[in-house]
Amino acid sequence: MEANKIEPSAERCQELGTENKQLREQLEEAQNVLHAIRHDQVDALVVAKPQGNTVYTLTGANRTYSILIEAINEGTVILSDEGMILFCNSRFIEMVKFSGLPLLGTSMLNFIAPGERRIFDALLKQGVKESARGETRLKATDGTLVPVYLSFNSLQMENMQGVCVIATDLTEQKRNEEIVASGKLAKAILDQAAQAIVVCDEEGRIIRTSRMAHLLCDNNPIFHPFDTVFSLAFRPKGYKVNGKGEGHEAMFSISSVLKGESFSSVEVSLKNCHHDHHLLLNAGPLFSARDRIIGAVVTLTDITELCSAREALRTAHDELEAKVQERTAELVLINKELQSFAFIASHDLQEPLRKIQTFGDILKEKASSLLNDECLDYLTRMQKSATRMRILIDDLLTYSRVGTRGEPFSAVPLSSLIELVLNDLEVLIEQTGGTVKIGELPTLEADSTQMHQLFQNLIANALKFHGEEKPVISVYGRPHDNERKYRIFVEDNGIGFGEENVDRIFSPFQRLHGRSAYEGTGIGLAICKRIAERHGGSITAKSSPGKGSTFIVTLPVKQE
Amino acid sequence: MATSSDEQFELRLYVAGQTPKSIQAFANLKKICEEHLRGRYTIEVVDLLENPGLAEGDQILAIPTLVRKLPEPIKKIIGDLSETERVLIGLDLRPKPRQERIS
Repeated sequence: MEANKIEPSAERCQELGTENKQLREQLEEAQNVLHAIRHDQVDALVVAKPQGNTVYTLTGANRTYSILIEAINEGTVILSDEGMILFCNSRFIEMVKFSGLPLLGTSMLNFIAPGERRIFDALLKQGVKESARGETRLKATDGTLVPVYLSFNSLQMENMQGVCVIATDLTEQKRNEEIVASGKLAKAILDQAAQAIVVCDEEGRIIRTSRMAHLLCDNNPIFHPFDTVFSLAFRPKGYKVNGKGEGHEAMFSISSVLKGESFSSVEVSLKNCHHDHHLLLNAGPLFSARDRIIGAVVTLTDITELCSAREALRTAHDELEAKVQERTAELVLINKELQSFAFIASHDLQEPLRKIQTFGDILKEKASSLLNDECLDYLTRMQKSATRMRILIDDLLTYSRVGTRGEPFSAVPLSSLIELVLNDLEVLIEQTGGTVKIGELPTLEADSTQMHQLFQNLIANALKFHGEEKPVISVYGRPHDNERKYRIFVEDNGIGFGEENVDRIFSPFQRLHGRSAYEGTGIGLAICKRIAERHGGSITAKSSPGKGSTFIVTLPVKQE
Repeated sequence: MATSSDEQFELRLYVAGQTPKSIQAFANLKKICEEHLRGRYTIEVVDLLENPGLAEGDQILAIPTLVRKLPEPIKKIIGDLSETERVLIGLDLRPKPRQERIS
């Protein structure tokens, strides 16, 4: 029986249904593929070939790698085993500063620094075999040398042996090494510094300190704000009054330094430690290369001891001053008392002596007929003694008055003064047959009366203490101490004295010779010394027995 | 007919080396899996550039292609998987919009 051709059977229907479903699924899939392709969602296709499947990619499958090679910071080059460049990335081109025609086909040796050739050859040879690494220098097209680290790896390509080279630019690294080295130097300086040094960033936080600085802190100061760690009050204690009229101590703040203010040798005290530290503050801002403030440096020097020493000194000085004033007042009083005593005493002493002289004269006059030579002699000697005593008393009075009865200072031309002195000593000069030569003498600010006294004494002495020869005396001056003083020399050819006695002769009452040999009360030189000292000068003598003496008076040209 | 929420998904992604779309597909897939299949999926990456012959098994033509091996039935999604909705529908993670819903 023929099957019904027009009406399919139920079985056939089911078959067709299934076939339909399958076809629909296949269609859907095919449509999906087409959709994906059309909408740029695929980039590779599988193509059946006699030898099997092949995958065709629409864009390079190693595109990502290419991007990577170009983007990395290392220069990469692929070389043949003879060093010919087959490929290089843009970073390498940058390193050697190449521009223009492609590098492919040129020799790598063109970019190796002179003197590095042998190293490169060795690295290449080793690298082709297996791998090699080394530091060397490339030569850029403008001649600059680039320090690099080269890494060679053997590369087997289709039909030849090559090598892949990665070049790492060490310029930055070398620069960083310098920075590290200088960083180490800075650290060494901070460690050794005897002062507290604190470095802050632009927000006032402490970033570095010297070791000494740690001693001033309680805890680790790093990264804490400077003002919190170091609470510094200005000294002497200053007070600031704010808008509300409240007063508080003037404190140092790092913010003023960060605004550009500098502090030099400012005294501050540190508040928050166990001891009260007295410090010297120096602070200044840190500038970047572009003159922007990037931080601050503060140096603190401990002057606590220095200050207490200063205080002690001041106190001692004040105490001393007070004591000196006390003593001076006392001495002035004593001096005054002595003055009046001396005056009264001399007056009271002179009176009887005058009587002795007077009555002696009367006696001589009235009783000369009654007295024999021997008695007259006794009388004369008595009178002479009285006279001598009067002179002594006068001298003593003069001596005591040098300081207090002086006249005000005026300009005294010494040459003319000495002339007057010689006038007064006329008799003595004639008696001794002496000669006095006067050299160049200055004009000094002095008490003319006292100067007269001084030089009269010196020249009289020079005349008196002569030896066998007639006295020859020389008076001359020399500037001294940068012309602020003058030294006046009174030189004689007399008997001289041993210099070991030089102090004695300027003391009152010290006589080196008996009264019978040479006249004098022994106070003359003491008076000279006092006069010289009153003028702010001094007197001394040079001599040797039998060889004459030179008396040297040093006097300031101007009086204060 | 969305899958129940505790079924394990076995996914296979066919790529061709590191073509841009291959990379993109993988990234997108990972994202979708983490968001919708956390803790119940595995991804196998098959590089047809290395092994073109493996394309036969799942009849792969265009790359990238994502194949859902489990749960059955096998599902195929072609492309870089950047249209997330389409991917979810393709993997049966979203109910298809039914015509009944409209009425």
